[in-house]
Amino acid sequence: MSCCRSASGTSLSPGRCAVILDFLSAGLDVFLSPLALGLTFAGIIVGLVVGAMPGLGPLMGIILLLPVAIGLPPVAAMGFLIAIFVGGSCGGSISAILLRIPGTPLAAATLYDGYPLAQKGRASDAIGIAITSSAIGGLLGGVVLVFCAPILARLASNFAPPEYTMLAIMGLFAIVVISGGSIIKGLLAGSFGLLISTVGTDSFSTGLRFTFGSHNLLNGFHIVAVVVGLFAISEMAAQMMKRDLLKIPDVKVARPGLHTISLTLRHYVNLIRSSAIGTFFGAIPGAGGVISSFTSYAVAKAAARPGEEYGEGAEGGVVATESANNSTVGGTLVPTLSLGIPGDASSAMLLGALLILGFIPGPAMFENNPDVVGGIFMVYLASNIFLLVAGILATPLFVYVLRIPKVYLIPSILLLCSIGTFALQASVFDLQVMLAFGLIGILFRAADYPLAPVVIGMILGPILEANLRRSLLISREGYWIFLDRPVSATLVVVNVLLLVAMVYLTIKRIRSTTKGDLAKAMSTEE
Amino acid sequence: MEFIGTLKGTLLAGAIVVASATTALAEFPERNIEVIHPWGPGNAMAMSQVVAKAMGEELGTDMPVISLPGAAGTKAQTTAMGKPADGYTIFDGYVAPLVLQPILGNADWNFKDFKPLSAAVANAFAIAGQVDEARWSNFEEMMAYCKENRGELRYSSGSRNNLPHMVIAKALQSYDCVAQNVPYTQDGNVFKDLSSKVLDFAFVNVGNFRSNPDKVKILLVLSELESSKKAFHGAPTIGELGVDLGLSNLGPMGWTWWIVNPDTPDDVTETLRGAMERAMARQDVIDAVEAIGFVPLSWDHTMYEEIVGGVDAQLNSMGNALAWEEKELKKLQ
Amino acid sequence: MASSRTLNLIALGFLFAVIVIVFWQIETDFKEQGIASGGPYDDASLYPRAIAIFIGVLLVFQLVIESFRGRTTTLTEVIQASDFGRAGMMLAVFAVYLMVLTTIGYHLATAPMICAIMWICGMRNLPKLAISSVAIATSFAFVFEAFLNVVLPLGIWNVFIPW
Repeated sequence: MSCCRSASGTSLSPGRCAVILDFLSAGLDVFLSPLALGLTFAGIIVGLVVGAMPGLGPLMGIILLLPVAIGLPPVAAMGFLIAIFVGGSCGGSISAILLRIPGTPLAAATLYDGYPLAQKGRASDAIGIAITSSAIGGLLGGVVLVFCAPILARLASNFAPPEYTMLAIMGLFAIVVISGGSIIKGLLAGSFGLLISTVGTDSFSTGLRFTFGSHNLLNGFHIVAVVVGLFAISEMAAQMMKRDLLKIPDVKVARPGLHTISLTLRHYVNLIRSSAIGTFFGAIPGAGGVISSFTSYAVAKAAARPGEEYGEGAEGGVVATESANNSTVGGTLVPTLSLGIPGDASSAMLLGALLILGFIPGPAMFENNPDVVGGIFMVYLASNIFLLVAGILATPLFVYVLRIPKVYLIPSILLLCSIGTFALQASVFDLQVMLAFGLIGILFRAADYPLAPVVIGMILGPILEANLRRSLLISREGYWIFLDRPVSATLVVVNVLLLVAMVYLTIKRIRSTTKGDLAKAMSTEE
Repeated sequence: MEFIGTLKGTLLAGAIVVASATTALAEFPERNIEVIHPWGPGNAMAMSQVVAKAMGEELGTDMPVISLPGAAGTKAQTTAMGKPADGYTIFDGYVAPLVLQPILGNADWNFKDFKPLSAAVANAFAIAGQVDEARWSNFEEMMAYCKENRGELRYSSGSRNNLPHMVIAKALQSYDCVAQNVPYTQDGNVFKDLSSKVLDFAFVNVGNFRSNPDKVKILLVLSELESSKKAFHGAPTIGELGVDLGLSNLGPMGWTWWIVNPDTPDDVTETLRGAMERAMARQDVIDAVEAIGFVPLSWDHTMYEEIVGGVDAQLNSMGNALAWEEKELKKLQ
Repeated sequence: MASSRTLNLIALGFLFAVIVIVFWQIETDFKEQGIASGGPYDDASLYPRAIAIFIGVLLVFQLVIESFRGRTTTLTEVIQASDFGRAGMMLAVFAVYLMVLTTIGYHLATAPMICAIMWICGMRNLPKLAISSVAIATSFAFVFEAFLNVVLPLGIWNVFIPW
């Protein structure tokens, strides 16, 4: 409601709340058809499945099913696609929690606490928390979408290359915060991610970097092939080393319970904060869910109370990442619907679908097609509610995967990773990339290097480099452009403060570990 | 015994598979046909999915569209043409990889090396400036300002060395205007940064303009088509400029002409051509193409050499505009 | 087996090799293309070079830390050679699968790959091996080909199942 009040103070017409309620009631009429309801529910199931499968994610789900959707009535079609987006953004956490394999890059940060929580025998709880956080995060993102879209869109349009550069640097600092073990190893892994994102055609000079004459490398490595390789292949290799491959695992499958909702709601501060971060990053075109989940996790970890062991199965870790990446979906729809500028690749496809269906997103759509705008708001809100229902009911089914003997599970997962990764670009080369990164993943894990920073590095790399160079091209006075613009200057100050804090903490940590090591060394020598 | 039974079953299943493979040669198409699209997910891809869906319906099969971005579309074209010449792979032949990149020396093919199916769609661009611009009121005044203040203006053509860049560079060269191009990977962000006055002028496509027509001011439509002028609310076109850029017809526009490997059997190619022509003539396809802001094209394969050849000749003759811009920018450093 | 120190040194060696490749490419390929110098518009080397230098600095730090830790070489959890062998064989089978996938196609390559991995896992019941490998390969193909319209590799013999 505060958005409505502040809205009246801007150029928006007074009585905006009433207008929004008109949208919603017009949308409700269109949405409450068996077809739209049914397809929204079906979209959630499809989304959860494509999200949980390593390789495919919400984007591929939308691409693969867009031809089906464009033959449907508009709200039903958008319901189907948006539900795939919502379900897919959550589905990746299921495989992350159960198998230590993020189904999508979005779930990479969920590994930190989701998997350890499941290892403590609380797999059902972990999935329940992930799903509930996703749904509530999504709903909070939805509230922002419904009530604050124009304001947030205006805020986002003030983000130009200098601001993106500073945000990317802030994102990189998250690596330091989330690296539980060695900060240097975390930074090394993150920098490695930054470096591999430079492979391919440089969009500024149009030169080719590190392609070694291969046309397959002209667009660099596909992020999904890298993620699946790093996590899934290395995990399967680790599993092969165990000796219980033929046994039927004795895993208790807890009954689906509404108690996970109360477990999640206990972290209400974290929930609201992470959803706010997620919505914000979603609303800035080009940032996206991975950055928001990592950032939320870093903030949650930094704000953790003593006793909350982040990285060892803290519920709050799952709450932070999952509420963030699903609220990002709501955030992404803000520029997509109100400006016609897609927030990420998935919403770019949604935008295409909307155009094919005959609607031009932008301020005019809010005036000319309130029923469609309202309908999209409704399907988005309903998707998140359906996600909660379907997700909690299906949790035992997902957890059942843990009962499958590894002799079947390992080859099935390898195959699933292969087909899922192949489906992205119909490319066997992507599979070879997957295997190569699998070997790197094995080496990193063996040497105790965290893998998740590689993912965030790879996502942030192009944002950082392109916006830094873009800023310098736009600037007429070099690096001063970062201080000339108020938002950018504020972010510079924040980044400097963060840097100082991190250097201090690192030195403190290194001192204590080396002291500890020396003490240990001396005691063994004795 | 149990094992032999299983073995029999497996062999039987194998036999069915191989049998189906042989019948595949008899009737085309027997399985899904892939369309390789040279750009990332977005409007253009959704557009290709519309055409592919209609064409698939005409052929009685599914036609998934695969996005394979990279190196201005040359990665996708190399990949598509490297697949077997059996008609099961079609390339969504955008002007950038098909004509422009060979001219720039980044690809070793010629548009004549491929078999065309049919023209698909075109999309017009325009040069837009900021609303409330005080320094100039039209394109020619902006050029005059630019000439006086060399290297002062910042613009974006989206990617560097793409078709809008070439056309804009040619226009700037004609007026002796040197401005700094700022590459972007997403057209939406170009529009955003133009409307928030970070850029002085930029290329915009119909889609972004229609969403927010009052956020930018269209200075020049890079097309001579009446439909493009209308799409950009009647702004002046390159035909109305005082200078001749040497561009006409599809020359300054983005377009795609679907092509297949030159070794594709003739009967297969004919089947595909017939299906694509029928698809492009369908009213639902025309409506969807127009809805997304593109122009449906109705040329069949017989017009390929003439139309694409015309564009090739025009772009070839203006190829030095990009080199001129680079040289002038270096002088200012 | 390998000590944590050896593994750490191998990882450092790998990252060192990565930065060597970066500098080597900048000095050769980048220079040939003319993208190793100039302003932000033309210089594609500045950013990878900066990251490579940063990695180099971190490597030195890590090496110093390793040398402190060196005295307290701790053995990682003892893993039998046979356990390592299984993982190695799985990776080898998977690598061979990827190599032959384009040539012989999904439908001929997949079931043997699954069968081989299950064998490595210790399953010796031949009928079970045959049935489950064919079932897994076919059911996954069905989901992707029939529902999601993915065209799996057909191989040179164009083997496919018309669902």
